[in-house]
Amino acid sequence: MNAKRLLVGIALLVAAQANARNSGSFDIYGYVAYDSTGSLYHVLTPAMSVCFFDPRFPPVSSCSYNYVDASGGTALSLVAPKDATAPATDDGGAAVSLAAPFELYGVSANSLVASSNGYLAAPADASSEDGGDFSQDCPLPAIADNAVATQARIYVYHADLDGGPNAGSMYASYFASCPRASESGLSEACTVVQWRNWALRGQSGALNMEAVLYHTSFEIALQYQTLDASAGTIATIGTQSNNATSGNAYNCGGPADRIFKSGFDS
Amino acid sequence: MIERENGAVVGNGSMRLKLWLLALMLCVPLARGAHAQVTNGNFETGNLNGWTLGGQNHAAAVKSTNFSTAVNPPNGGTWFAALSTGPGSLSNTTYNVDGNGVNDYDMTSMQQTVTFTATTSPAMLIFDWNFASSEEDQPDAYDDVFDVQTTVGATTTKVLTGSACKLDGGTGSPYPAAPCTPFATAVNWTITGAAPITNTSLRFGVGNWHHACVDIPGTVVGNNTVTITFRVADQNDNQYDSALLLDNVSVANTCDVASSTLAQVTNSSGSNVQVKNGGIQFTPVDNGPALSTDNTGTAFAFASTGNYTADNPNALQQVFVYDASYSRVTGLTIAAGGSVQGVSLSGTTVGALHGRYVAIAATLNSAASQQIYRWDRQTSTLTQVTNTTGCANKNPSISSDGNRIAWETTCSAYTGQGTTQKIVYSTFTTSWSAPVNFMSAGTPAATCQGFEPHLSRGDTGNFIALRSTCGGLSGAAPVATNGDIFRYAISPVGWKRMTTATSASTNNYSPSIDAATAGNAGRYIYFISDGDYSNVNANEPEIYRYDVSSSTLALVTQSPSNSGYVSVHQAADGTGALFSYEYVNGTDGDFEDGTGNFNGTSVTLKLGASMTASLGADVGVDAGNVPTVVFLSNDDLMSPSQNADGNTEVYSARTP
Repeated sequence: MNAKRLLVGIALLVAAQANARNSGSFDIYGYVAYDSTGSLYHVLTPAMSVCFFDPRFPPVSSCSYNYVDASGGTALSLVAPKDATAPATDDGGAAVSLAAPFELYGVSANSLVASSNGYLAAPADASSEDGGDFSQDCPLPAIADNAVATQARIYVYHADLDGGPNAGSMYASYFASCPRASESGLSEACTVVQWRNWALRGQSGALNMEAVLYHTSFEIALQYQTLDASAGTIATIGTQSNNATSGNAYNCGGPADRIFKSGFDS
Repeated sequence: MIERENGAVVGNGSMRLKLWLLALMLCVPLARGAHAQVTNGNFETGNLNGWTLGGQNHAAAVKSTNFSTAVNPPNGGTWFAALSTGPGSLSNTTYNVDGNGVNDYDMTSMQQTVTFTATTSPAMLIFDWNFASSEEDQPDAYDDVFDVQTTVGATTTKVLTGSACKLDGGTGSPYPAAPCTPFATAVNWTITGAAPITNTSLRFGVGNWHHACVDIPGTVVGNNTVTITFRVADQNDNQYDSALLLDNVSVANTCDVASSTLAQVTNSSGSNVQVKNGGIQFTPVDNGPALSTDNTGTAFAFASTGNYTADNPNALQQVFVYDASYSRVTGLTIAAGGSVQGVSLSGTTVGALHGRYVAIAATLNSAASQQIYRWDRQTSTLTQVTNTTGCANKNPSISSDGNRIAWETTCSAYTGQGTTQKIVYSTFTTSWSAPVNFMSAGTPAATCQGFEPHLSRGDTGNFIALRSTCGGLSGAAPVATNGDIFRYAISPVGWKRMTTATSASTNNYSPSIDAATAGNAGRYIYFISDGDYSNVNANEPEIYRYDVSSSTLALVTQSPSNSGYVSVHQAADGTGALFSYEYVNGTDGDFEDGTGNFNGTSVTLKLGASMTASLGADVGVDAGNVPTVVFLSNDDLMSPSQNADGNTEVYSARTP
């Protein structure tokens, strides 16, 4: 490399890092994350959203918050993993049939498994994910350690969550015209998977959150209506590809080291 | 039978267990693999303590100042030994050291009896020598001599001999002439202040030192007692003096122990894994149980719970490849409850990849069946070879081109013979062929089994070495309960039988086939047996080599009582000579891993490392034809310490 090319390379690298620091985390595949606050430190607060943009649809540096009520959809019935001792609301998974395909890391899925522990998995079939992964992983990618695991995941708020303490419920709802407009500017359908009155073990406060999955731009909008007392400091928020070859942790055990602990992980 | 859960490093389970127990019983606090040192072999005591003098007893420890012109010892130190025929005439007692019938006078000998444990056979005698003679310009009949003898049992062997250099190139002794000193005319040096050899005359001074490393015939792997004797004598007169100078006398496994390079390749600790209901649990990393090297011994595939690629913080067992750096077999992500049973690296170098393909036997999760997969490192493509339920596929062996895999299976869908374990193979063209049960003719079909398949590596995997309890493959059913060793040829179809044990208790195991090419492909099969096929010992587990071209079985090793071999792996250099071994030394209960070179009649064994426990080994040979044994151990073998936490780590020992 000659000196001129080297300087250009350095300039691009600096620009890329500056961009990352001002915008969002990213991974090998190309997902880029932005939040609704524009905050440098990405401290989760109630009424906040985090968007993950598929690289095939150029991201915009914004992510609106517009919480969608999914309770009119399907109430999800959690199933405990085989041989589990904890109730399904603590460690369990519920199959979510999608009315339209959704692509995660470019791989199309017609169904998902929603976990009681705050993540969505995109298994080849429902039997390939039990939803029982309670251990928050950091950084991403990280091979999941539940007994029947699919690595392709959307970590909405992944930690040892439990629906029991607050009598929580989970819903999935498909909207042919999504009430929350995607950042793509397209009018598109979405599927919303929602955790209502959920709880994080050892933390006070109800957790109300949802994942909005868009079926055209494949944007992922994670919205947090209310938070438990930890405010995401012991949860993983991000995405991960199948076989854990790529991952993007927007939040990974606390926001302070997000850029270099998460953004460059993969 | 307890099988080693390792596709590449498969041994007879019951035999390994037996040796483990033996090792535990015999474990004594000896320095691992340490040879007893020759006492005062470097003479730095300033005397000859430890040595017994004979003849005229004219020897002394000397240093540079004992010479009229300074003579320094080789390789540092201060002192060395001098055996002299002088000064002048000492006695009229005659000897015949070199056997030429000419009287020798003023003979002095120096000897020591050493008891040591060898991990090679033969062990080596190493020393530095220098023969200075005043006879260089004298007639050939006055050809002063020296020799070095080793005595094992009742057998004494001259392992090095020499006589005075003659400036005219002549000789009087059958002993070969030692190198001359640099002086063409007399310089008249003397030894001073070193009774009883003071005033020894060295008319032509002292020349260069020479390094010797010679076999000690008759030594075996295990315990040995050897008497080492150095002699010097004045031939045909007792006037002109000569002196044999000696230093750094030792016994060793190899000529240059320091050149054996032991390295700890993996260096793992563990992960803090979150546990249910709060808290963190530290989970140590376990490298293993599967390990397989490429042909060069520089790369290896292995199973590990390590976080080598920063994506395995939960310490789940995955398949990794180390090839200058770590990569994970990302096409095969194994969940909690899953495991890796065996791996086999294809071996040949393709582009920058030392071993392009990895055959894997793995269970993806707690509910899955054990399947065979192939990972293509070049294209990052995983293909699934088997697809069965309720049965096991394990211990894969892959061909050098990566397009054939043989493995053990209990799947009736592949064997048509129930759940009885057979060996099958599959070949990849555009997809994997239906597995072929080439043992289907074995009898009794319902019960006879196949074990430990190893595909030949120099061709496309046309030959499979294996162990089987089946009759009807090549002769009658094996008498040995755990079977005999066979070789199957895929094309043209044919069976060869390596062993026909006559006792039900005979253990044959660890078959390993060569990587030769063309007509030599599949020619050599190494294996281990306690069957005493050569009628030489008391049924210790020894390494044998079968040569198919001559249908001859050769005993490669001979072990002392209560010692024996656990595994043998033939190197892929194509010669059929190089192999790695795991050995249990019954003296101290330790495992010893190393390499061997068998030329058909004798073997040279080179120790890589001794350890409390070896958990599997494989071998490669680099471009310099140097074998490297790669092995798993939870010992802390390096200095300074690198494995204080006792994790199972991958070690590599290059054995020039």
